[in-house]
Amino acid sequence: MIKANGLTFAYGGKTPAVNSLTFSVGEGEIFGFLGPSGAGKSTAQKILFRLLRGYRGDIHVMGLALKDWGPEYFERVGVCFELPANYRKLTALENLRFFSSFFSTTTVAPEEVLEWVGLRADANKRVEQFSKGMQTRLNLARSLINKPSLLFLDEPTSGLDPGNARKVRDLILRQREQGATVFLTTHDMHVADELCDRVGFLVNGKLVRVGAPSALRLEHSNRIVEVRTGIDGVVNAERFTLDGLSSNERFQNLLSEDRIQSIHSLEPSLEHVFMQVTGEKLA
Amino acid sequence: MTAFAHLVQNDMRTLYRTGYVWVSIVVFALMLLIAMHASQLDFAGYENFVAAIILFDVVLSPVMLVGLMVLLERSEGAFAALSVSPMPTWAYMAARVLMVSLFSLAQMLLLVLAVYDANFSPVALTAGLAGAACMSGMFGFLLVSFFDDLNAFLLPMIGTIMLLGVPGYAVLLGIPQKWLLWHPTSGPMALIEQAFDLDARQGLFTAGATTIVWAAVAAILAHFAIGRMQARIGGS
Repeated sequence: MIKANGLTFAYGGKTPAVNSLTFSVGEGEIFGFLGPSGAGKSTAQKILFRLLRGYRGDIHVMGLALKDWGPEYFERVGVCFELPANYRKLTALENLRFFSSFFSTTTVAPEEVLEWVGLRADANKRVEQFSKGMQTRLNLARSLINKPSLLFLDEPTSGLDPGNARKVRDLILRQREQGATVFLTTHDMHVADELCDRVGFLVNGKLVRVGAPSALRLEHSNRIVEVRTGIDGVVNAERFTLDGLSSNERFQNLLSEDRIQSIHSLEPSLEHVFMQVTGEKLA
Repeated sequence: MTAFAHLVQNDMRTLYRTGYVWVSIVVFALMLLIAMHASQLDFAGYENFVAAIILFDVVLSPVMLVGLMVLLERSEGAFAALSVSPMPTWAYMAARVLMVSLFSLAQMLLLVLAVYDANFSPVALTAGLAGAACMSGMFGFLLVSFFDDLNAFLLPMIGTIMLLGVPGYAVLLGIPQKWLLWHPTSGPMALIEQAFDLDARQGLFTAGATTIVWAAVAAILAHFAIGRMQARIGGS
């Protein structure tokens, strides 16, 4: 779906905001760029949805060089910005009807998309009365109205309460089930871990690592399990290396004593892996 | 409904709900008051005075409204959303220019009907007013592309309105129009003048042609300005 080779861009000829990025995103995949603020995530995305020109390198999207796409590109692409991007004086419904009028392809009924993002009851409310979270969800609704094959999401759960963040994450997963490719940027490792098939770690404009979250976690695992046992209300924790665990006498004893309360594999979190790989913290 | 119709409808809603339409009506009411007062004075060259005041007002609203609406769209992020949609740029520009021009045109025709009781050519007047309004709207796009906020935009907006109204002041000051043939609104001004001087038909073709050429130039510049604003969203 997306192939980028040596993608480089610098604002005003200064230090490159993204530097020699080479990556690909498969059809029906959820791919995430992870990194701290200023890492170049949004810049890379802006290039991909054609708000930034003057980049170097090759980009092919949906089988065509990005620069060769005309306005029809946006018939097949959906873009959800992190910041509110709606007419505040219009209602949610008026906003969606307005934006859907630009598509020559079949669009989803605005009321239906509003239902998806939990804004059906607020359809006739002006956007100026919306909270930031509601506006973010309206952004997402707008990006889905044309049933895009490729969806760009910039920090899709930013500013949402846990309930609505869950709803948005489910909606993104549903888009993938329906065949859409999703390219998202986030600095929220939980979002990335749950949603992304693969992630790319971006630091100072460079792509440091690409891989599946589970594979990255396993790769940086210490191969240790922690066994918690309870004796007379006191919980003890013991750690065992996975190597030779089946022949570890102490571990076998604990199993046979039937006092085990829990066993944890102690895999590192994606955030921990990120810090290990990049030496940077996610801000 | 087509995209163009939706764009027109959207602009109508925005003008109404932001209160811009009321601001424009208040300015128009002031102009009307001045023109009605002047019509009772019965001074020589009253036609020229009316023509000049009309030109000034017909350039004011389009520059102001286009500028304010674009700044509003940009501050709300709606312009960014439009930039990543299949919206045709020409439709966006044309819908807005049409909207503000019709608004301005209606005001000015009303003003003429209210204060001018002699014969005039409605065709020449409408052509002149429409030419000036469309051109001003398109120059509004060009101007606003250089600014990011309202405070920075206001003073240059006044300057642009003054500049676009220069042929009007020239008429008032008795400066020969031939010296201002290069000016974008000299064509519309000549058409407006001729609307009130039914005997003079010289230069009508030149005025029309100049108006069309400058409108085309303004349209190209406005189109370029919209592209420039889209590039600025990305940060380049």
